[in-house]
Amino acid sequence: METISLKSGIKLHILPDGKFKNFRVGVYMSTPLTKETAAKNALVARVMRSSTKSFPDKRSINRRLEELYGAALITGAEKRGECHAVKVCIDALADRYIENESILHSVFDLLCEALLYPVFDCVDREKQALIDEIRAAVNDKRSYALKRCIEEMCADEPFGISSHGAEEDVQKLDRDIACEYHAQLIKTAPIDIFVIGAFDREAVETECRRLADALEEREEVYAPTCQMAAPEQVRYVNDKENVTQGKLVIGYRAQINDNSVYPLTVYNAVFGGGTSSKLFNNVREKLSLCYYASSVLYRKKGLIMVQAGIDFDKYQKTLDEIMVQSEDIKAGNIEPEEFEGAVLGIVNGLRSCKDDLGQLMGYYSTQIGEDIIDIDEKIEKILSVKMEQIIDVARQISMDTIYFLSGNGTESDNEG
Amino acid sequence: MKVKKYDIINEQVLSKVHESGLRVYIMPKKGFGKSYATFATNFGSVDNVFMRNGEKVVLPDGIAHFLEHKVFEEPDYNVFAEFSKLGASANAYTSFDLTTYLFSATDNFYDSLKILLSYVQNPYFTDENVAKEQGIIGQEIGMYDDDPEWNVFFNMLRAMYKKHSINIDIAGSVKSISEITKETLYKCYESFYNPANMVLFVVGDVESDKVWNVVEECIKTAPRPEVEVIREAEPDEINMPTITQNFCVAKPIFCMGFKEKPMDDPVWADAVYTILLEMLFGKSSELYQSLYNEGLINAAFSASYSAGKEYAFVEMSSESDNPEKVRDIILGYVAEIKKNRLLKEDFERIKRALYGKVLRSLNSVDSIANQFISMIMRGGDYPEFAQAINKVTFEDIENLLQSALDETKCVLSVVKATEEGCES
Repeated sequence: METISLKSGIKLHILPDGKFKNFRVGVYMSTPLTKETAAKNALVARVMRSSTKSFPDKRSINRRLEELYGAALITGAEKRGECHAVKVCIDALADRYIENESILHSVFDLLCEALLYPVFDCVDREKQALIDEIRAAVNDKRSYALKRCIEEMCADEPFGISSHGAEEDVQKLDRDIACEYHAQLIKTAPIDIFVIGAFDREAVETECRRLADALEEREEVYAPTCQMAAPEQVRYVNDKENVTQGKLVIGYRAQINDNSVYPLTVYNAVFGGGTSSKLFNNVREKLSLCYYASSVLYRKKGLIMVQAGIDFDKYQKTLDEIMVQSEDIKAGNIEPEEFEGAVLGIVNGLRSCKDDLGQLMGYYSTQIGEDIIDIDEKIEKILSVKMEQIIDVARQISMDTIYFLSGNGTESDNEG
Repeated sequence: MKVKKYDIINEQVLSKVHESGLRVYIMPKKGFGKSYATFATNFGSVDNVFMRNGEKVVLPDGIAHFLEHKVFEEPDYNVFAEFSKLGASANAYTSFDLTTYLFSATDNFYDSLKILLSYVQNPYFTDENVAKEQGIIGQEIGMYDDDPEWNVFFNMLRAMYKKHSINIDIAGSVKSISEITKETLYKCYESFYNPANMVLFVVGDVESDKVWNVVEECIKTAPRPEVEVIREAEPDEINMPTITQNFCVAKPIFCMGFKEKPMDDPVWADAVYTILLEMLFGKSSELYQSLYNEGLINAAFSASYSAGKEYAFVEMSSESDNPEKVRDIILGYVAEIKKNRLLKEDFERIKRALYGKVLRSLNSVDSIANQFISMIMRGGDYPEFAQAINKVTFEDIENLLQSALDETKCVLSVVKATEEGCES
């Protein structure tokens, strides 16, 4: 991937790849993650997809996308460590597959429309849709439990803030506040434009310069992500909801830096990253304690979150076994198949990522504000991780919070 | 190998028939990291009655799916563990028309292909392993029984089809699978899992001669008994217009279907129906906007066309507080449009959008493999789909509209909670 500075605070990251039949442009505006602005970012993203100067409603936007050979327009507000990025993304067919016509310029026109000229008349409807989305978080119990654990663990850090914002903050917004905020965002946020896929490189660079010309210079400053230590005493949090299966989430703090990031990635895979992992094979397969047991690494923040879906009465046994597995790694008890399976799994995932524009966009956009490394380079770094390094980083991981989502009152005795 | 080029989509497919009768197809995708292989047999849940060497065989419901599970069984190794060691990811599925065994890999492709071709051709059924599977599949059936979306769809098929075995659950029932024995499984396997009845499709950055070498090494020719699937004639009329089932759901879910006349050319059928349905029910349509704005459907609403062995239908599904009202509105809307209210500009725009979407789906080896194998069993060539969309004319769509979506062939299936809610 090549990075070009178009203007102060506005960068283009370009990666042509002719094997695809389409291309994807993602414009990311980064802001520090704060309680006040999270809701604003989420609402502005929704409005950009709903109404613009030339396309005042969803139906007219959808018709325009159909005219552009079924292009897709996606907007959102995403957390990257303790940065919150508003994204506007368009995916369209490559000109090479269209006879006697080029849509590249029109695609960029539509992208600019959504980015620069959203119309905020629809703000009330979109506020309601955003609130519905925030409330719907409780429907998927598994991801709700994960979210709750992070909220509790990082209550005094920006990382605990939801990427949709909180309902009470959304309620405070209106047309004028949202409109003013959007104007400020466009003027001051550092902007990263990613273009990946099949396209004419020169033509795309011209389009991106055209976009940059419509924008002012701004400071190229990205909010750093703070690293906190785990508390002296492990925190316990228990929520009760109408669930049939308990959701256990354990949050750990790791020391993340340039030297530890790859060993930690492999550690996470060995611990709970797939079907060759310790959590899968011991907590699930051997002890049959759960339907799923896995771990995920939040690279920028240095958190490792373990998740398991269990029967309520298996709480202590599961917790104990997870701790046994964690201690095992610290003691150096890693089977060669566990280590090889972990590395193979990560490498296969990275290789597959290269075939998918959405995954590629995700891979590169998480590196906003950092020195970008390509997938092949990351694969090499993963392949050079040694077993001893995993054990070293394991010894620096501490448990922070144990969260359990359990049922209301008595055990459920549902028939089905 | 024969080479067929598809210039519009910039792809090609190489093909050859093995001496055993196995048809092998390869779509090279240079620069793609992931490769995908599907090994399928032309035997699905609707193939439940057949003549074999002059004798009529009636199979228990769910046997094609049962067989799919048992094919993985090997006496001295674990199929999934072997794929894991090579870093490949394996799976299988049974549909109405076929059973498919597959894997995807970013490395060690040819070794994984050997495993795929070997285990599928090596049936190993015992009384013990059949009994074990009855328990496991019984659990799986229980899981589907709890799934309201699965039920609303199958109930729709039961209301639509009187005789056609598409109205039988793919996994069967706990009772029907209890009748399965290792002898029935072997009989089924020998009748349908002959390479002459099967297809291998490989897509990814592979070398065709290496693939062919694996085929030559692993595929065994076997004499095939004379097998002919029998289907009872299905009347044009539907079975019943409505069907309702109680389920613990927050909001009622409906599945509305139209029984359609099967067409001879499967690629053409998919092209014209997809365009028509997108025009009438797609995200930029009048109907979708008004139903959505009135809160009668949710964003997931969409219409689709399915066709296979002597069946074809259109279905659309959504959550709704008032499914009957949605059905009436849709029928009224279709009747209106049939009086020549289709707009040519909508047609042109939808064609462009679909063309773009189909082309983009060609980036995904998973999508290509599964579409290809399904279409080849219907006698069609999937890579021609983009071309077919281009060839469709406005008159073709107007003609289709007159004969499709017949009000008398409409079925409404609903699942909803009882008045007491979910407590009972």
